[in-house]
Amino acid sequence: MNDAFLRCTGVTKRFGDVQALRGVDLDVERGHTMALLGPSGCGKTTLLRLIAGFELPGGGAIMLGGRTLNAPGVFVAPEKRRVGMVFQDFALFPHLSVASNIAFGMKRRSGRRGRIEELLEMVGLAGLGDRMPHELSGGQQQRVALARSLAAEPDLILLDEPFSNLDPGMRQRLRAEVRQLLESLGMTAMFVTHDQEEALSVAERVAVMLDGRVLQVGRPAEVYSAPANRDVAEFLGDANFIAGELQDGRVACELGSIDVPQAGSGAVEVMVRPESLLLSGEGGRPVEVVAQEYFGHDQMVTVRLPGGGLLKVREMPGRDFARGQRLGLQLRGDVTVYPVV
Amino acid sequence: MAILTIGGRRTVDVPVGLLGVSMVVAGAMLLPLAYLIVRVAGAGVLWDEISATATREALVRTVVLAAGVTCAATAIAVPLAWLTVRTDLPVRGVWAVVFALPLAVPSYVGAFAFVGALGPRGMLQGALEPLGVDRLPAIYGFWGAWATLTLFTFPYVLLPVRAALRNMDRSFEEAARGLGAGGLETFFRVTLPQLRPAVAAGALLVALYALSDFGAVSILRFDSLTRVIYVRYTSSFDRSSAAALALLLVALSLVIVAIEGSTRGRGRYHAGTRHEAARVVALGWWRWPALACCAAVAAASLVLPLSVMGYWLARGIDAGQSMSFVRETAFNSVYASVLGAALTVAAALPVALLAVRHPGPVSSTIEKITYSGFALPGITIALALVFFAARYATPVYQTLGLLVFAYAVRFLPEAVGACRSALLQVNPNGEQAARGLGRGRAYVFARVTLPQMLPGLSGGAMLVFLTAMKELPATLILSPFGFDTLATQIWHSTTEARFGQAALPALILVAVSSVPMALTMLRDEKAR
Repeated sequence: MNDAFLRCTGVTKRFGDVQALRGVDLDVERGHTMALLGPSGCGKTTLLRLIAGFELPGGGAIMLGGRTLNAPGVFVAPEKRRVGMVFQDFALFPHLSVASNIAFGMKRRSGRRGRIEELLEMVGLAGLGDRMPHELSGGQQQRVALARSLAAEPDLILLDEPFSNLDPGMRQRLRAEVRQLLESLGMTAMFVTHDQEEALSVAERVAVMLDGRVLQVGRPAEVYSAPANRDVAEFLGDANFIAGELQDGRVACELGSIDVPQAGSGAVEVMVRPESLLLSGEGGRPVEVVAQEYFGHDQMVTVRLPGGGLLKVREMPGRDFARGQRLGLQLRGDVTVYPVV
Repeated sequence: MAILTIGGRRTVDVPVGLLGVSMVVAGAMLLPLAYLIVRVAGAGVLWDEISATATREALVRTVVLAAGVTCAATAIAVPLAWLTVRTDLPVRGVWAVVFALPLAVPSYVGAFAFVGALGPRGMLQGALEPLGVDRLPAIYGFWGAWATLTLFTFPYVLLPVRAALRNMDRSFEEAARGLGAGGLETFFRVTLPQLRPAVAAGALLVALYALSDFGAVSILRFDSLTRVIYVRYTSSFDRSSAAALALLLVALSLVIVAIEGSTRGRGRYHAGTRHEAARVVALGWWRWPALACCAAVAAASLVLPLSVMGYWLARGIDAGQSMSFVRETAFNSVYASVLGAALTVAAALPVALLAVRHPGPVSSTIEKITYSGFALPGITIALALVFFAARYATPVYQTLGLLVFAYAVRFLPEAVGACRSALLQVNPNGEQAARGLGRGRAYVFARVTLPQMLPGLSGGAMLVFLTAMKELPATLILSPFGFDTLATQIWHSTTEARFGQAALPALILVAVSSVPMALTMLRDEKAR
């Protein structure tokens, strides 16, 4: 990728004894939204703050639109980066009205009022410019924070867990709105989240971070269906792992003999998503139902294989399962294999 | 912007300017004490002074006074705090305000009231004169100083204990009752131990106050260290002896701070999460003795000084004394205190910014240095500055600038504390968001940080202003020739038994500091 707009190469950061970033390489294309997904403590917020210029990196380089922001001996002050940040707690200035908050970072003096109105309209808050931040709901504050960032005409917008302070219904709505807004403006954006559903549904690209490293970058479907390794697979939703033996493009395991794209041979681990499995009355591997968890939109059934191993199977919500019930298990999707280390 | 490398760790950027200014403030803060040490060491008199019998006696007197005042103040404050928080004492809210107000009476005004009422040529003797009484038992010395200081410092213990009683979760006491402890047993075994940090914090303030007090002991002629220092400073050619004693006084303050630190114990105290107010105890018939106690304390610590001031003011006006001098002294007081408050807050701001926004070993050391003024008695600061200016900075010797500088050294801890808590109210994400919006450090400070700090900051400036108005020893020693303030006016008039001229300045001082205090207290009471 030569046309990377934001490029991080070998970025490291250390806090005392804690190595927060262990050499991060990450590219974001112009106009794309990248989700930085990882468990808490994986370093994703640290990376965001480094890009914004709020922390000094230990090493590595950060480039934005051809400008070097961080490199050995180079440090561009936060206010000179043209990088906007939307904080988890929104960080609206409590002593300024909504309109003044939005006007805060505006470069041009002329036409301010019109531009503020335009932005308020854009985020669905037309007419609320005179309110104070505390008079707004959480969702409204979030929109003001976004409008304030956009008003400064940044090259890149960073969002730190932008939806985590909102209640579930509002979260869903804002996710869709923000995605639409960023897309329509052609804005390059990067947001941090520990919620895989959020990352997969909002972003065009997902970068999975674990323990200070970016382990995989790709389109949401790619990352979900073909995780780069076992850790990524486990973090991105539910996964079953079965021991298997790879030989000549086929892997033999308790589910039978399955075609896989990999060549080579040796002991492997087979990763199967629960929704790639199907329970039926007859046919397939004989299994016994051990437990059932009901979620409304679907349900998760835990079954025991003849060899004693447990597997999770995602089923439609309509069917009823009884503990001890004997059923047949079939594979209906792809599997991913990882060499055993 | 600087990149601080501390212990191999690169910390967040610290602006060089901020760091530099804070270091200058810390250096200025250390100047008086450092110079005093150099001076005393140079003269080589320290050991001779400390081992002298006169010094030892003064030291013992000082310690006994501080201990006696601290014990008495605690003994008055804890029961009063309990009565005004936990019982159905009539008009509790009023008592709460009344018992805080003695803080508005400076010790020398208290001493003036004491002498003006009971001393030679005082009210009592005047009243007895027709009966042929021309001599009263002497009131000077330990008991006078002890009683005066106790009556005007007990609120330092009362206020934190009241707050602790209020914030204490009732579940602790309910648990004790559930475990079979009676009301009294619960108080001594559960309630009182939890009040220990509050009592210790208040007692520390009282002890430091008694130790460094100059006004009351000098008027009541009790030879504690501060009075001995002042006498030696004004009367002898070799001022090294005064300097050595001033250093001894600092050491004594540090010992007291250390004692308070060691009494904290290992327990952790915090209000429960439920935070429900404790049950109110019905006093029943006991309310009458309780009310009598409250009234007696209020009479001695408020009514007596106020009526003495009123009496002498009326006498002075009757005798045709001109009160016009008060206008000038009041103006001088306000002028010096406003300058002092401005300089103090201006010096505190960078230190607090550095400590809160750029934490690290360097900034924490700077902050700790600024807190050291807390253990520096005013007379010590004043002497050190006089010596320093007389030798190295003669142009500022005997100028208002030196006095304002002394105020800043003396009150910097309070101002740093106020700035610090004001700054903690400001969300740092807001500042970072502003930087991200393309605004530089100075702009962000002026438009985002400062406006949000303003209420806390003006509160801090007000506090320093009021304390500076009441400050006596440094003002007395450092004021330019002929520059009388309300405080020095009261002191001079009282020591010369010209009570009529002390009354009006004293009333003004008490009014100036009690009115804002009473207003905030009343507002707090109403808010509950």
